[in-house]
Amino acid sequence: MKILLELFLSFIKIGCFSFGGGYAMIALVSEEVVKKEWISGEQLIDFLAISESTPGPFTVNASTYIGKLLAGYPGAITATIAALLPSIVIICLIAKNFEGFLTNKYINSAFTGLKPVVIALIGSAIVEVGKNVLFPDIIVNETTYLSLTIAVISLLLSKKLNPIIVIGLSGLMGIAFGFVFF
Amino acid sequence: MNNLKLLKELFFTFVKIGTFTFGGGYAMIPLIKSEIVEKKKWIEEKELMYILVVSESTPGSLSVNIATFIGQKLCGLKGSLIATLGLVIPSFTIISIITNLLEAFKKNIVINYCLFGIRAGVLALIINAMISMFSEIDKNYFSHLVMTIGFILIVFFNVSAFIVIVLAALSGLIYCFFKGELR
Repeated sequence: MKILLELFLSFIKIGCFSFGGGYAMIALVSEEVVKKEWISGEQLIDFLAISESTPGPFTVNASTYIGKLLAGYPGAITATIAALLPSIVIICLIAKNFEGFLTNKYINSAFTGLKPVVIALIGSAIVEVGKNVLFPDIIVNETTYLSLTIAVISLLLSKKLNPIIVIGLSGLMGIAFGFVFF
Repeated sequence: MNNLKLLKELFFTFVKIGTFTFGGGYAMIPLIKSEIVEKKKWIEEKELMYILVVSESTPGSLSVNIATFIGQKLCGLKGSLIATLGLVIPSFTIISIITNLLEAFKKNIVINYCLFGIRAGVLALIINAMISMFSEIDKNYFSHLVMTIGFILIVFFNVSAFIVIVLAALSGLIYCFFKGELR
């Protein structure tokens, strides 16, 4: 019971402070779980590898994994609800009043800056993901060329095909190339 | 009942999206575009831009915020909860199952190769997201400046996204003030 409360509080905290996605969140979560000594360093590394490999938001993957590890399904559910609660509340408030929100001249002015910064953020995500996908071993090697090939083919396919199919095909390409070249 | 039908569709659409969103919120954008903007026509691309701006600037995962927002817009509070639930159920299920099969999962070669391919596919999707969103912003000196400086700050100076977002909002306010749009 006590562990559920602790999970709940920790993940509410994580839910309130994870901004900007991706790596910032990873740092936040890692810090919190290591501080609480909930999992060992090796378990953390395992988990990080998995959460890159499973679909879904990182924070949810973290809350499910750690919650389950510590307290089974009740833990996983508690931690996940806690992680989602802050954003659901905030987004609902904003979305509900969105019309008013959009006509507010201050918000609109802020948006003039916020809209282009979205491009900067997506750009930085491309750099991060690009680094990991093309240069996982730092040097340029066969992984680089194969990943690049799959990425380019996927990019071309995505002009015509549904993104879900593109993801499926990229997975198949990975399997095919893997068995042929590795 | 129209509402119930919509909620069901909302749920299953987000389960579908949630199952294929690898690599974070930006990779989800092409999926939202395809399933929600183009297929279901629940929102327009222009609206997606605004939803993205808000979802990025508020705490929480980008993908969760986007789902919550769209759900709320479509069906109020119930919609927001249903959409979010749909989005997270696939990952919740997969992670719950995997926790016990960790070793096998890590070592399975087919899975590893598959993920290797998917990661490259995710890169392509994020590039697509940038291309779509780029077409939605006004192109002027100010916006180009913000894009460039924002990018440089994050990538080369490791400034946190949160700070860059706050700076961008402030710049927008200052820019509009000087343009005389804020009285």
